[in-house]
Amino acid sequence: MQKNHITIALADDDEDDRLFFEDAFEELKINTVVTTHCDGEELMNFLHHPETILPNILFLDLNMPKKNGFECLLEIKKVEKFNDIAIAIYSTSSSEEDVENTFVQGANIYIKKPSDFDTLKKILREVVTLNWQYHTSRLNKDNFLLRM
Amino acid sequence: MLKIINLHKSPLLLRIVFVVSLAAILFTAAVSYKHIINLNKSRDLVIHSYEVQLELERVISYIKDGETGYRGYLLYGDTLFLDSYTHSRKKVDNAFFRLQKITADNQSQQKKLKELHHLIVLRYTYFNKKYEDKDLYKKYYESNGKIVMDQIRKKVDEMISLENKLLERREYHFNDSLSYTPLYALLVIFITLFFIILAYIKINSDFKRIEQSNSKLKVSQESIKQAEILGNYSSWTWNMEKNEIQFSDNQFRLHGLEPQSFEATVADFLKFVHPEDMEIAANSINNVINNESLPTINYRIIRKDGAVRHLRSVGKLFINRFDEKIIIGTTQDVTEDILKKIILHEKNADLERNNKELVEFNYAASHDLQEPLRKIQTFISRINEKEKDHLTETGKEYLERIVVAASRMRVLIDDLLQYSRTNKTDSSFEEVDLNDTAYASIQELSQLMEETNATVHFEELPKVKGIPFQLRQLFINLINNSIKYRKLNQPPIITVACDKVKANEEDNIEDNSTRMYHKITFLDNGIGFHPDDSKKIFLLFNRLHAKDSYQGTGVGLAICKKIVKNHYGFICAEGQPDEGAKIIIYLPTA
Repeated sequence: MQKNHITIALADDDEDDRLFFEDAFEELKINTVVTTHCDGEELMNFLHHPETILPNILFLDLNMPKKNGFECLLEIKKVEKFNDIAIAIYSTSSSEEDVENTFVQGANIYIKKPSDFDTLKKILREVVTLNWQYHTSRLNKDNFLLRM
Repeated sequence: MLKIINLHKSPLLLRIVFVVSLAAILFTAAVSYKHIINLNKSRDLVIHSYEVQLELERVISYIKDGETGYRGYLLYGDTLFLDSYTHSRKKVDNAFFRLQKITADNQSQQKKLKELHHLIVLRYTYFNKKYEDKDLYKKYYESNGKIVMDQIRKKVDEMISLENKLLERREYHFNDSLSYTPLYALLVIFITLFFIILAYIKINSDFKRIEQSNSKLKVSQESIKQAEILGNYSSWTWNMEKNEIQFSDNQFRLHGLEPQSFEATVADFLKFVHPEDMEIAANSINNVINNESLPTINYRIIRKDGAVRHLRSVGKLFINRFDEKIIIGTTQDVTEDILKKIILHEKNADLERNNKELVEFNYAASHDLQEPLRKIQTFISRINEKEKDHLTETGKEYLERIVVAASRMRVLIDDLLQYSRTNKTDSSFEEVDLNDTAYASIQELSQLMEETNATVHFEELPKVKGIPFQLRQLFINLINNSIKYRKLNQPPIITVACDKVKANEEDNIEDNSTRMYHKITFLDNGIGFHPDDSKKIFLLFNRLHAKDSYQGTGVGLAICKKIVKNHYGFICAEGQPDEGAKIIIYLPTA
């Protein structure tokens, strides 16, 4: 049981969003372990800590204090031991500039924060059960921005 | 070289005419002089002839005197008579000597004179013989002396008649010459008079021409002065050889001085140059001196009253007919232009900054507004899901209203974002087939069209130069609008027609050229609008209907207008209430 669970990390400075995120996973009843971090710096400290079990999927907000999501993305992609982490961008904005930049820097999927709790649950289920092998090949840009 | 000849043509001609007339006058004068000399000679010859005759008569008379004396002596034996004889001999010799001298130029007279001399000598030898016997003498005289005497007379007569002939000829010549004299004098006078008149006419016409040129010059000078005042410029010349400088009146005015109020030098004007521009001015003067040219320079001056003016000067080398180097220059007061330019530049920068701020503000505002709204909506969905059962009926109704208001706000923010993103700079122009655009827009709206049973008819559309996604947005917004404002009792039908028109033949196009435009018309069978509102509907956030009756933010058509403007086109609307709406787009032909 313990071995099959999926570890998930979220970095988001917004308390409400962190709450929605945790609630959604709770209601989804998937075997997941969720950790949340309130800024990029805290996230990086967590990841670099030797005792940390690295997450399978990392949800990254872009607009954060101290260290923003984009900086975290760049840093993670430089470290070899983080190579297996699937990175999902999780942002309010879906501006073409942000989408393009994160795609180029090696994020795996781009999620625009929904304005409906049901949709959020649907999205998170989709992302967790995604065939990551296909997505990590990063061949298809059209699939990068998740549409629900 | 040709130019120089042309330039000096008139003076050269004048010189030739002068030399020719001088020669003519001198020639006629010389001829007259020669004639008078000849006249003198003829007269001298006539006098000469008379002298010869006179001398010959004297010779005869002296011989007779001698004969008379000698006879008296013979008759009366008185030696007193012999005196007149001896005197006569001397006188005859003298007269004969003179004759010899004055007829030296005449061979035949000289010959005759020799014969005469012989006869005279013979005659006197007879006198010398002392004939005591008077009868013998008588006899001797009658036989010899008389014969010799007759011969002498005859010879003298011959000579006189010869001289008379000469005289006759000479008198004829003299009279002949004399008759020509007044003619020569008149000729000289007339020729001289002719040239004087010619000179007078020429001088007179030249003078008139100079006067005319002078008055023309005065007129053009005056007009230049006016032009200088009106055009705010001045002119100056700088003679490099003599280092003389002349400034026009306006040069003084440009510097805030009274025209020609003092004898100005370059230094006088340099005093006004703005300290920061002193180097430019000094360099340009050095340039004039060393390179003999003045390229355009801009500099400032400070007038006596403290006013700063911007001047622009330019000069060009010119060589005059005395081979002197002269710089001809023009100075213009360009203060107004420069001030206008500065103001324009500032305004432009202001405008650019404002525009940029506005775009940034618009984007940031609508973007940042999304975050709290999203949370409100998420919380509402949480309440709807978990807490709805605990609410009273009124509470449930309020919650519904909150849901509607929140979603309306989302639409507003989304539209606003789209509007602020519709900028020309986003993409560059490319060739767009509007048939593809129409197809793509119908695909996008397929769900809505299905729900409302809408049909869209497209005519064959042209290709234009444009931004593909903006043109797609334009079509989507227009069709969406027609569906949104449909009549509730009939399915919407939209017809898209296309035509080619000339700009100056369409009132809706604010372009008076003959440029060609594609006219694309979207006609629907919807609720239409009042003609008075045909301009209003394109304004941002302007709605013609109450919010509850028709959805809409009043941004859709504003975006359409922005897109059409981005494509250098025009958009307008025509309609009547309940009779459908007609939106017309004009796009320039490629």
